[in-house]
Amino acid sequence: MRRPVGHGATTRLATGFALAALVLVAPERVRADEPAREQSFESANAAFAEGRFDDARATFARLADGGAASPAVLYNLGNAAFRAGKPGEAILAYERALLAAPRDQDVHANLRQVRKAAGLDEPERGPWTRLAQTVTTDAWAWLASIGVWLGCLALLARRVVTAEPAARSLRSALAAAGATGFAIVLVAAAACATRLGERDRGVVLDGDPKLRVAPYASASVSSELLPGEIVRIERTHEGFTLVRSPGGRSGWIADGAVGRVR
Amino acid sequence: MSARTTALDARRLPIVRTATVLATALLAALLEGTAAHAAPGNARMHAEVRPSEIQIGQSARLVVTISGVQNAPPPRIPAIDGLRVQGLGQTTSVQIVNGTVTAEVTHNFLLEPERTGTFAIPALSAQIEGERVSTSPLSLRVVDANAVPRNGIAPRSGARAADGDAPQEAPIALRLTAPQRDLYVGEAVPVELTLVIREGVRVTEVTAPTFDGTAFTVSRPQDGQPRQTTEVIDGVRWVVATFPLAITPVSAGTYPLVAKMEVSAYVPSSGRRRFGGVMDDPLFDSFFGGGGGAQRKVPLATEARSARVLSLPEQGRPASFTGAIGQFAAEASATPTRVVVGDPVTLTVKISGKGNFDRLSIPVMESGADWKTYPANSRFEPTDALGTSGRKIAEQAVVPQNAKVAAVPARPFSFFDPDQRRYVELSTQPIALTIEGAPRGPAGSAPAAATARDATAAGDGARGDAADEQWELAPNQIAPGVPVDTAPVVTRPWFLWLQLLPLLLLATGTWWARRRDRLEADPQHHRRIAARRRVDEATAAMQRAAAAGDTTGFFAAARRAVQARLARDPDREAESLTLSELEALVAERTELRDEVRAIVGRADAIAYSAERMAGADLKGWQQRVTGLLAALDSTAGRNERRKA
Repeated sequence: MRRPVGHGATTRLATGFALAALVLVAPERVRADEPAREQSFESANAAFAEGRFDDARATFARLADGGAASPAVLYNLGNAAFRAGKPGEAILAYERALLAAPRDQDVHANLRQVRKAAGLDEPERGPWTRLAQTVTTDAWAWLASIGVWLGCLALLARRVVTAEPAARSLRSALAAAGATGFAIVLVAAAACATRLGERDRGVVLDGDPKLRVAPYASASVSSELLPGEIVRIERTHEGFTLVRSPGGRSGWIADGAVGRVR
Repeated sequence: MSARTTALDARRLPIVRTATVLATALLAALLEGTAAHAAPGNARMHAEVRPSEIQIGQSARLVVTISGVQNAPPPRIPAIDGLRVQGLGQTTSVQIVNGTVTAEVTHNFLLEPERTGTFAIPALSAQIEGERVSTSPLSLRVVDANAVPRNGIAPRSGARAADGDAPQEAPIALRLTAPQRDLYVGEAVPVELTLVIREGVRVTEVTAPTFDGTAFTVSRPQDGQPRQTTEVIDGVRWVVATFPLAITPVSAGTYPLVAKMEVSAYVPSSGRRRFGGVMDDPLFDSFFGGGGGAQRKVPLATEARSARVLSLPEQGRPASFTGAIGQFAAEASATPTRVVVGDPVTLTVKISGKGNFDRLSIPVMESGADWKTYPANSRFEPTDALGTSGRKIAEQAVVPQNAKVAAVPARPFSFFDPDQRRYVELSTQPIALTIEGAPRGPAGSAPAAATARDATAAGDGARGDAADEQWELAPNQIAPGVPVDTAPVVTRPWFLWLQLLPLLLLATGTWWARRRDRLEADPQHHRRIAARRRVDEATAAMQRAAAAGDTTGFFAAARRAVQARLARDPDREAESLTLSELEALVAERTELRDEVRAIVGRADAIAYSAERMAGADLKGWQQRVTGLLAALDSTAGRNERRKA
């Protein structure tokens, strides 16, 4: 009895794919410090309820900076920062929360409210940006990946199927599927690039919002931004960040006075 | 080459002459038209002394402009005691703008004072085309050489070249104009750095001005471009480039106040021939690349002087003082002025004037029993390039807490005036408010999230952050949720490899399908397949015969297998190949030929002799046949690869 050639290799390949898929689609990672995290979260919420907004803000900020930055933590951090009189920090937290939860209506509502309270206009967003912001960067990336697989496999199948007249309709269907796959790739990749570009954005914080003409503390102040204003981060140099506002104002701002939306 | 050029020039000369004559005629016609437009009664005369104040030893220029005519005699300048007047000639300009022709004649006079004092230049008059026109009286103030004129250039006494050139010989000089008073730490002091360049010198590069030491920080305008004018001194024209700067003393003490700059310049040789007339204009020097002198770098420094820097006095310092030094005015406004308790009012405080706006902070209102306040937002609107004058505006949201509030209180502001050497206290006017109706009730009875989403109208004037309940927010989340990896998946290498996998599959499948199609279209490939099938069938029959001890059947199958393996002609049946033909097909391989001869010869012999062999012998023959077929396969594979 002859053993089929390559049977072992196929089995190993399938097992590898299954494991990789399991890792990729696993919804939650097991965290050893989960109880401590939940406890900190609850204590911060308790401080918030008692009106100790600075304490709540500090605890939420620790959670967010300690690798436990969930949309809920960032959202609560935004609420606490706003109540603590830090609209810039609040807007930064909400913007970060929207990266992971772009359709969360509570985040959108509070962000609008804080912007209004800080005297800031809503950033202008075109139809394409609004479309790109409906889902996360990773969702667009996975959609593009699905498009790549669909397109390639459909074209591959079409190539493998013989050109006999009986298979003509099947070949047409596969060609349509391939074209659809690559169209998905185009749209999803462009949206993904748009969302990735948003990671160069920064939010002016509540410290020293002065724009200087050079990256030195003694340099002349050319303009001043409002806490919470969205700026484009262009580069950094020795404790200063070169930013450009949507209105075209550009200058160097102290690193601590701007937070990157990442 | 030279001869050809000369010939070309000779051909062109009449053309050039003709064009010149036509251009002259056209210009003359235009000027005639100008004269026609310049009807009597349109002539005006204007005089100006530039500059109006100089040091003794310097000279000024009297410029008399007569507009509305293209030709006018110079006005007569009466003798002025102590002031020499020398004519420098006249210039005429004609402008045609949208068909309207304007002309003016300018007469220049050099004024050289022999003493200090103020010289009165009486009204000048002239008879122009039958009409008498006159100017207003003018004056020229001449101060001592040690005094600082308000303007004007002083290349002889006030500037020096750092490389030791005598001041009066220096074709390029640097001069600093700064306040003649004590300076204060933190004060933004506007100064002017003046670069003076004699006509004929072409400056190609200028470095940024610097100051000796670290006692001052220097601010430069954003555009960095100097203001450029020309002056005539002793009949020599000078180009004056003025760099506005602002210096800020950083510590108290007495420090040298010397600015430095390096320029690259073409300085013409002293023996350059002047042709006079319009060609002597320095414009032509600049245009045609200078006077032919060598380019050199010239380090320049202003005249050595020192400045005393004082700390701000402690005595008399107001409580509201926050570091402003200069001259300022303060005003405040509020909107709306008709509110209910709890409604925000935007308080706007504007500080305008000249001084160190970068250190100026506007005092804001603090929360108290009557007011709840929020942090203010401020912005600066400069009116000069240095940012030393303009206005700073602070907007603050303030909320009245009870109906007893009648006005936004006055806002105090103080600054130090360096000219008066004292602190100045200002205060804005209180702004009356009308508190209407009942106080705003506690918010939040509706679900908080809904309130936040629907809030659109509250606090239209509010600025800054707000911890007030009027800014309803959707409530906090009660579960921490799942942490999210902030690094996008597209930045992970495995994700990119995952996208390469389908592309590799597509490439491999395409290659395989093309190979399949190619083989399907190849008749040789089909023959090889058929031959292999026949060999396989014969081999199987041979095995069966060997197992059954059928000697005749075994060798018949062995012969068919060898014939099928060696057959090449598609039009001929393999079984019709004779032994000699089979040997010829493997003639180049002796060992194979011998083996073919042995097997097929034996098969032929057994077919006619009905010889029977033992099973062991058949096994041995079976191995020989199998070995021969394998060797033939190998040889055929090598031949195909060689052909390929």
